[in-house]
Amino acid sequence: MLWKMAFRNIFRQKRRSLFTALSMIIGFVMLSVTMALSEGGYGNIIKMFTKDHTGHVQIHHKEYLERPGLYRSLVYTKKIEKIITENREIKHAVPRVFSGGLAFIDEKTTGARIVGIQPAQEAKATTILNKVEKGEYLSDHWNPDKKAEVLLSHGMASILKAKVGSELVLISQGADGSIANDLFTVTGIFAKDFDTMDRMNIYMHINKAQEFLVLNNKIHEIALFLDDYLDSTKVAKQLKKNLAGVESTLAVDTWMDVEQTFYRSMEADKSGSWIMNLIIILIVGIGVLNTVLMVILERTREYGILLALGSRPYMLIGMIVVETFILSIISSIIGALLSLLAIWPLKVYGITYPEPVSIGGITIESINGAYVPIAFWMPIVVVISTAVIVSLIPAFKAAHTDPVKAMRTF
Amino acid sequence: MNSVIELQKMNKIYKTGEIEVHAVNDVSFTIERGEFTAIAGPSGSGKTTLLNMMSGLESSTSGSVILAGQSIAKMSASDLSDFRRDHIGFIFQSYNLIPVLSVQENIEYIMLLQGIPKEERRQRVSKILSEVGLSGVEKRFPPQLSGGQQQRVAVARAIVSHPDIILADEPTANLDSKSGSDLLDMMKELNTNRGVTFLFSTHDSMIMERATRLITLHDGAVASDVTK
Ligand SMILES: Nc1ncnc2c1ncn2[C@@H]1O[C@H](COP(=O)(O)OP(=O)(O)OP(=O)(O)O)[C@@H](O)[C@H]1O
Ligand SMILES: [Mg+2]
Repeated sequence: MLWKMAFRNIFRQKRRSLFTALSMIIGFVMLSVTMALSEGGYGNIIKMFTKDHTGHVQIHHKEYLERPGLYRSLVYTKKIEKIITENREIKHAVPRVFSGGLAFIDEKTTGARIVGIQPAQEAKATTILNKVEKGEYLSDHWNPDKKAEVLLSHGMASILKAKVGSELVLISQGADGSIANDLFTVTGIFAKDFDTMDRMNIYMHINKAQEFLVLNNKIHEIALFLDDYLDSTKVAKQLKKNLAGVESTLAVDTWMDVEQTFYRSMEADKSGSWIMNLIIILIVGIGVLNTVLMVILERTREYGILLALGSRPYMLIGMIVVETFILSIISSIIGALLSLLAIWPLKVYGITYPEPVSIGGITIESINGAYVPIAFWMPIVVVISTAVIVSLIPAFKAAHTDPVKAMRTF
Repeated sequence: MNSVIELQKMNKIYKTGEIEVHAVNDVSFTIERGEFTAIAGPSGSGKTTLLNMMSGLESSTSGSVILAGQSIAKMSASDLSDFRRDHIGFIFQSYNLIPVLSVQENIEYIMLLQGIPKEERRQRVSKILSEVGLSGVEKRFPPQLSGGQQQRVAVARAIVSHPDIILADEPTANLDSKSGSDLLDMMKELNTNRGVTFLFSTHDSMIMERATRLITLHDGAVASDVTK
């Protein structure tokens, strides 16, 4: 009966219910779109960022992240490989070698960050192949007898005035303490990169890097790529557990630990959207409070009769809250449908910032919305709970109706 | 002992700022089972106030009410609410019914609160509707009924749970004289055939004529009490 009455009361004053519903729907869509942009947009950026090179989880020597160094290396053993391939969430695992050095082309010189990669695997896991603007990508087969190929980042190439085919001299230090120097051919040059950290990168085949740096079979990093970046923490935890018995010198970290500046500044940026939440709670709250208060004023006499007949005050509270609850559910359904429509153009076309924004070293020119679950369940929670909580105020007022007064005034 | 309500030295004083209104002044009387009593008196003589105090809807300044053998003075709000539900039927001047409930549901409401099973509720509703001459309107909603029909539904709702007494505050005031007269006939029949106890407050001379007992109030005090 209570539900029946609540339900019928909604359709009794259609215009008023419509108005209440409208404020809830507007609030819902606003929140949903904001969420789709921030959560979904950041989700895209994270995907882009991790896909670019970081990966989702990385394995290093346990001291490497804090103090990167040639000697803080690891051996990619069969045991490690087995543990990684056994984990179904991991799609790609790429080994890498890093070191610093000096690069020369003719009289031009600059500091370089040497990155050794497995060309084919790296190309499958990351977007590196798409970034080659001029020339060719590294060939997967390394011939120790031939002059080795390198890929230069855009920034590096312009400092060195490098062209495809240029001869490049690289000087570094080998792990055995010797001076490492060798001659390379520039096989390709990257397009301008959005990651400012990558400006000094010079890529070569991992076997060449190992030989050049006298690392033998040692590497510095295994970057792991998952299907869903949201699984990063889970996967890292599993790996940590499984690797603990095999290698005590290893550390497993997520992209959030590896790229802390990026992660933190993004989180900070995201927290700004809570202001939006507050505004929406206000819109919904005031809309509901206003109309429900009016409704209660009009129904005073009815409540008086219900109380005189022996209804308990809590029944009236229940009736009013249920009425708002039903209305908020209906509004949420409509709001969700409208949000589906509203997010669509944001997903396809996105929003271009008037000025490119830099977040943790990544320059972002536009942001795209996405259909992320939080963009739906969050508005549902916010709208329904706000409506229900706010309706308690008039509901308590109604429950305290004095039947005598209610009956005398009409 | 066959008394339904016993009033002893009932007083009600309203204070609005400096002004005191002695709305009910030392009223004592007893209503017996099966009576058909009218309380008459000019506007402001305290009829409504008195009725409200009898049902415990309103507290008295002093005096006591014994309803169905129990004093209502010391009851908690929720006990009083249940007690009222089980022992008193209400008919108000107008807009008695809950607009979002059908005729059937309006009449069922108290039985629902009392926890009477559905089957029995349905039976009682159709029986009572035929008694008040409204068979067939179960599914209709109050706004689709005439004022007279609405008051009949109100009567049906009031008596369906077999209360000890029906308190009716000017039940005919908003009806034309024909509908008022019909409604009164119907209530009189219920009184004679079923022995339902009625207590009216009224300006309506028709009710005063047909009442078996007429109590007249003046300035909150009993001016006369005549049993015919
Ligand atoms: N809540 C209140 N506050 C102050 N005075 C009140 C209140 N309720 C009633 N009164 C006063 O008490 C007196 C009795 O009122 P009551 O409504 O009982 O009279 P009544 O006989 O029912 O009149 P009517 O025939 O117009 O319905 C009136 O003078 C009225 O103004
Ligand atoms: Mg009155």
